[in-house]
Amino acid sequence: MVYTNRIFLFFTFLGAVLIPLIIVGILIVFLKEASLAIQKFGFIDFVFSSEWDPVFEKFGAAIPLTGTIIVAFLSLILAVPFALGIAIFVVEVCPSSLKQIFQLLIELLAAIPSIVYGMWGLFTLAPIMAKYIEPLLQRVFTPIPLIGKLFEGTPLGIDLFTASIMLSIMIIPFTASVAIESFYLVPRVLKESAYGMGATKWEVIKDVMFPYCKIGILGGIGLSLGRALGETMAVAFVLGNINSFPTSLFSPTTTVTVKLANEFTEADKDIHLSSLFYLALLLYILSLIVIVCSKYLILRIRSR
Amino acid sequence: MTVEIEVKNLFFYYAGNSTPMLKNINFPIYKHKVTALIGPSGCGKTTLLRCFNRMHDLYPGNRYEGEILFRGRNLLSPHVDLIELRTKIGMVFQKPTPFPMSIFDNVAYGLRLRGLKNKKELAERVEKALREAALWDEVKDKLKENALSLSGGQQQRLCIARAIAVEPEVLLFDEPTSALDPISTAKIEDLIVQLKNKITIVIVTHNMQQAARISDFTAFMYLGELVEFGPTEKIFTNPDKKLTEDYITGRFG
Amino acid sequence: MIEREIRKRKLISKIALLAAFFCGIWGLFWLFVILFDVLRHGLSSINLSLFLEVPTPPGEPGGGLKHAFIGHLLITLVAVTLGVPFGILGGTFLAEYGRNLRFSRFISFLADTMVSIPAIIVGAFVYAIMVKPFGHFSGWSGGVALAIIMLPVIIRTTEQMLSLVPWTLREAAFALGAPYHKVIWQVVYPSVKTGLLTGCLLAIARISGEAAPLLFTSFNNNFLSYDMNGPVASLTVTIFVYAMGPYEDWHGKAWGAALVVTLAILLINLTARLILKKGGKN
Repeated sequence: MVYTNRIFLFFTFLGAVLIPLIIVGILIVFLKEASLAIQKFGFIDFVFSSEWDPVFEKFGAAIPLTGTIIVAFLSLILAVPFALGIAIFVVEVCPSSLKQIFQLLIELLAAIPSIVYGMWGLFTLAPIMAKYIEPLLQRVFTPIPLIGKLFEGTPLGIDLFTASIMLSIMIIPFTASVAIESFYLVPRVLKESAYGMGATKWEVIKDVMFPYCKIGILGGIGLSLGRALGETMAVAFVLGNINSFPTSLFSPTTTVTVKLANEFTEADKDIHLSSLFYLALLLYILSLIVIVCSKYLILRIRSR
Repeated sequence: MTVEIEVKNLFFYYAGNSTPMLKNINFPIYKHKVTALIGPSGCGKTTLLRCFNRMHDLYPGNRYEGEILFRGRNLLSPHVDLIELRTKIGMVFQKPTPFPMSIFDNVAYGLRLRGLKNKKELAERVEKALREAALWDEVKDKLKENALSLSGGQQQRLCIARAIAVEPEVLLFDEPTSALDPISTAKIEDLIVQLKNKITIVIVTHNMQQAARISDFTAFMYLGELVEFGPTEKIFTNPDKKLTEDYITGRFG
Repeated sequence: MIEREIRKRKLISKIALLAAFFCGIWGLFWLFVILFDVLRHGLSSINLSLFLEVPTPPGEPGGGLKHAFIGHLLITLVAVTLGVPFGILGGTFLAEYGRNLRFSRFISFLADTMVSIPAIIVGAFVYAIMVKPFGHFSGWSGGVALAIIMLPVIIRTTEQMLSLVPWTLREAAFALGAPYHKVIWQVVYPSVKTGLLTGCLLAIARISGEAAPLLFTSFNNNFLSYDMNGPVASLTVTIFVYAMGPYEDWHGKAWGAALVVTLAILLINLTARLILKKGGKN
């Protein structure tokens, strides 16, 4: 009878210890699989090389890494203002009977699977972008000297711009829900103190709530970033997977995830596969850093 | 002695309640005097205090009946501009509530809200407020530091400095020393007695000795009603009502 | 003068709050646009044959996605069989046996992190440890990949649910002489069973929409196959392949499958939350 408890304890421990095992396991396995490429290309040369030639066996991470980072940051820029606006709306503007429903609806945005986003992007958003929005933006902005360069190129809809817009919608809920949670943590008395000084609602939000929640909001933005860095399917539909640096918002390009999705099963040379694992390793480390930092910030604001 | 605020037939209902929390309150607040609101927990003294700066308006559904005349005008009227009202009637809360910004920015907050941008004038008024709050010497070298680095007693004096920087006519204190140690409490009590020369003060306290020490007038409340109002000395030595006497002598509450 | 200032500040406040309202509309707008679109395109493809027939040769119209539905079910079953027990066990350790260890807080933090790891990374990992050594894709590896994604989600929800049970409840059982494992099974688990169920449902909803981790594990199969040792079709990968393919017929089927997957996920999500609310009331 004593043994049953011990055995159960052992299995629960096993369940728990699987977590660090897997996290470290992924790192080790990726290092092993990428070792061929790491040995051949080193670090600096790999990261800064823009070649990707399966025939001549020359691979470099510059283009996919650049694509990953640009797409992620563009979508963050588009997502964060709306996410914060939504958080303000839910906490301070929305009538209490609707608050929960609204929060649920925003969370549903995150529940929609990425392939569905991808399909919608490919069949609905991209054509609208190509036919109406992108040409309009082109006409408006190309005359302007510096900014105009961002809008050059043939607007086919399968490009950085469409992918970023789509991704931005997907990542809104992550920042929004953390921001909402942080706003709810602001002590009532603090807000009342500000109102008591004759501040307007907006002044209370901007002078008291935002500074108080800075850390949490940063964490929420970090989570959105982590999601954006690792998103595969949605982006794969509308980015084009062209191995070239984007020269404008309307260029197709590629990201680490899209490259992996498209080439993994077709890589028949060891060095090709190893280079793909090298990319995966870099993405893994980058994601881990962003996610760990974000979760830590959120932990900080929860423990206040 | 002039009447600064006159409470007339005041009833107050919390949202969703048909029974009033405050019943038929009538009494005056005299200018440049300290008026204390005392009574056992739940008697409505904080509820009454929060009527003066319409704090209840922040939460939908609360209802006032009756009038509170401030300089002749009813401050409960829906036509009253709340922001302007709160410029004239300030509040200090039970727990110190420094804003997440520097000491200087905290005190300057109300001034900046009103559009004061001139750096020299801001600095002068911040110093003046901090001096009046007896905090200047302790913080003059670290004005740029975060307000949260101050001790509890200092934070509360900071909140007082913040409130008086905008030169209100009336200052409402909601049990301002209940979260502080005896030394800080004494400092703030001295502060309040000093302030009354320029500002009318209403203070809610559950500490009777504090009320006896610093107030000129006292209002004793019980179960939402004003039982007795009068000069503090009279209330504490020779009250008219037996209920008042029982409370003062500690028979309940 | 001061009145104009106040009026201006009030106006700014109103405008800012209005902007916040429009942000809310922005979010809702896209939600409904996307859902409406999936409905519009997918509805026309939903018919019995989608569920009951196997695919025709590429290019030929007709046929269905029976193979993908069954394959997806099989893979999900494997994932649930692996993910749920280990998830609940792991969460139990963190909330019960190991609740006072700093190690547990660390694991909890790691699990929370692991929830956000890109799905394609998990796919590449399982490829390296299961597909490459054995030389072929398999339904098993697809299930393992999804189980790995489910694991931290279930561990976290289990841990949170178990922590809600007041300690006095356990003490009462101990006082009667029950060993810890019995306390857990007979007292703690029953009092949070709706919460645990909700956690599992939400995890299932999460993996039902995943395609990336299956791309190089269970891969794809154009035929109906019950052999988990080989590549198995899944709804999500099929959607990817069909949508990117050249045939109109394929696009239509992809939309149909997308509609089914989306509806299933939304339903599971709403059911889970409803159960939680109802369970909470008791």
